[in-house]
Amino acid sequence: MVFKEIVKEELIFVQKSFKENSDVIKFLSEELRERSFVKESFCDAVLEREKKHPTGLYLGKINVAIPHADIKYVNKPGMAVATLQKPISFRKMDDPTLSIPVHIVFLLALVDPNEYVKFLSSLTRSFSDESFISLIYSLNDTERFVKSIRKMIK
Amino acid sequence: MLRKRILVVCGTGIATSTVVARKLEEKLEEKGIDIETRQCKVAEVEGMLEKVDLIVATTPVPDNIKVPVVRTLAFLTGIGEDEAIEEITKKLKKKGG
Repeated sequence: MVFKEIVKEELIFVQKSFKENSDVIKFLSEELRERSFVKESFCDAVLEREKKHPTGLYLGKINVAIPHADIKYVNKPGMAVATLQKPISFRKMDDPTLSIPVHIVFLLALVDPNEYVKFLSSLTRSFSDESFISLIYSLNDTERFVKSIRKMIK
Repeated sequence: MLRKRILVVCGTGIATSTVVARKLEEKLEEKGIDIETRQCKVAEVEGMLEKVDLIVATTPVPDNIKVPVVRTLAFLTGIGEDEAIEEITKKLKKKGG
């Protein structure tokens, strides 16, 4: 079951404070690395990619970012999530000249994307549901966070 | 319309382009448009253009590309999907076929 494999409560961090987007990426990468989801080099690869091809998604009120890197830096698929007490600036995927305030960061560690495309697609499409995204942003309980995402993802 | 070839472009050519490619196939099939997708990262676009009718990109692609481009996040987030499909259909029809 893909959902259980990827979404782990221990990798959800709510209402965290960071200065810059690189700080969130470093923090979440380290959490993934400690649990052997990713290789040591994953973090730098994500930071590098974010510089060249940013992943901020503008949704309106609550915005998200989905940083990730090439599959060669990943051991097993996973996802680390942080909701940010104060939004942090990310550049937009579709227009990197613009920055947007991001409230939730989904750091994706992917292997074969074809296997996980349904999960990924349902995840990214859930972003367009404003009440869902506002709800998960408001939660300060990781168990409810996982349950809420689970309801949205087929 | 003959089978159309769409090149789906994103930053790494893996995660987002896979989501977009599968969604495009599903949506255009519903419209009765036969497509074939290929994926690449933005840095590889120029070498991937042979026989490509349209590029759908989630991120900016170089300006000098001769193939029509639709830049959209609609197939990722679902926001503005119908409009994006309309634009793609129009551009594919314009190419003749």
